[in-house]
Amino acid sequence: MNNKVPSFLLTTQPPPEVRGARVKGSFIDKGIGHISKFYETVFLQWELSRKDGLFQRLNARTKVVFLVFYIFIVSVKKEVSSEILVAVFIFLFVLLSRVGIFKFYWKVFIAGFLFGVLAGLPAALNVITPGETVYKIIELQRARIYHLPETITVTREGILLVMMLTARVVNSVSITLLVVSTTSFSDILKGLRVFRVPEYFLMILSLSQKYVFIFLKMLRDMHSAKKARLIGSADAAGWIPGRIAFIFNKTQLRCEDVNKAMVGRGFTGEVKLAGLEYIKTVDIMYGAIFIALWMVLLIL
Amino acid sequence: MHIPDGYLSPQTYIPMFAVTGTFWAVALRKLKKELSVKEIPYLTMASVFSFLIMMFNIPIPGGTTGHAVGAAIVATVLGPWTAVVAVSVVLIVQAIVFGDGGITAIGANCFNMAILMPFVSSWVFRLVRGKSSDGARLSAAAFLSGYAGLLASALATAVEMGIQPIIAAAPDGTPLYAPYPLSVTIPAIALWHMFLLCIVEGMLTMLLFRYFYKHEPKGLYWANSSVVGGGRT
Repeated sequence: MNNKVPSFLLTTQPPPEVRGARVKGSFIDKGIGHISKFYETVFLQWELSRKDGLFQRLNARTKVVFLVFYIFIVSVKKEVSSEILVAVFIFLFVLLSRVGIFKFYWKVFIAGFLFGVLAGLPAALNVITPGETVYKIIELQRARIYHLPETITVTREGILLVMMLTARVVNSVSITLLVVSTTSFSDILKGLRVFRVPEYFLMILSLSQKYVFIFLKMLRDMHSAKKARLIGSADAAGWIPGRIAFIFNKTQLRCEDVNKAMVGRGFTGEVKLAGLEYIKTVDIMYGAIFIALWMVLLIL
Repeated sequence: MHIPDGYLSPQTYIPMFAVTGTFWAVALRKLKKELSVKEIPYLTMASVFSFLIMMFNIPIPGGTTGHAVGAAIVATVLGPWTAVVAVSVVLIVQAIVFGDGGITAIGANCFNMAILMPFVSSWVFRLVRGKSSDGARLSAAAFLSGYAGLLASALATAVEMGIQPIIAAAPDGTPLYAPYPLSVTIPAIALWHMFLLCIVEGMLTMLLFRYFYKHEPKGLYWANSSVVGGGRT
């Protein structure tokens, strides 16, 4: 009796490669994984912004002014002690905003380690930062090879530089994360009005973030549909450009739909962002505290 | 290639905001004039398209993956001025939502990836294509536009980082911001890009261009003068 099972069902697909506790998928799977990460990040930010804490109670404009002013102060300070003082104030604001201190500082320290310690570590050597020797690493056999000094050492100035860079990265990330975790994306955009950012540019930003969700879902559905229909590996080099071109077509069609919907609702080209909250007494009070602290930090 | 906070001095990031802001204003004015009320949905969808291109990760040697910036293909498909706004929107969303790139570095990052890259890509594409409509030459033009655009962007990043020890140092000469001089940043960033990342960007630009050229030739910016800013780069 002949075998009537379709040939594609007879071909076996090798199981995913397992490395440690992780299952290694295709790079398309990893890309789709990034989409899930995007959903997760935005959802967590939205959830945290609804908690009852100090920063959550403030108007978006107050927080945007805080973000810009404090990021600026972090970038102009030239001593580690000043950066530590800024870090103490931010720590207090994080505590009062109840954003989950361990998760918050885990993210901050990872960024600090990657962009501060790891990226800056070679600068602690006398090759980049000459200065007072703290620790001798190696003495080169041939002096002045490739313009290197005879002895490679860790310098005091170099260590201070890496500490400064790390402190600046940690403070900048914590200020940004504090505001982003306690404010929804649309409120941050509304808050940018305080710096006279054109409303129609903010509307493009706001609509883009919303439509990205819709198209990411479409992308994920397309990938799931492909995986469900195909046995074995598909031609990724053909699939990716095809899907991107498909998305391009969809965005063009959606552009027409959105335009018709906007015109149908009376849009004439004049943009006015809705839902901008009034500045309350609490905003004025905390705004004054932030500015006073900012001036103290600037002087110190 | 996203510069984080803390690496650029105010002497660098403030002028970069001014330059980038000027380009944004010109791009928005130019596109508003040509698109009228269609401007917002058009640029929104261009930004979404640009964002989605960056979501496709490509494996690169060494076991890791990287994503294309996509500014070259967006410039080829939609035009460089549209790419300025679309890629900038993506970079701003990435900086605010994901922390990819610093807040103070938004001006510099947008200049490198959303201004320099689309324009260099467009110029290289036009230069290599000439007046030819031959498929192989167009593919080569697309590859080189992606390659050169990303390389220009990487070099700009290297220069912005490398000048920090010169323009922002303590009285004793110790750097206060990005510590590496131009002699380190240019080879370190440029070599990595020249031999790996630019090739990936060029390949993706070429693959996408070929697909559009085969299936959607009328949608391509350079092929249709009625498309925003057509033929006026």
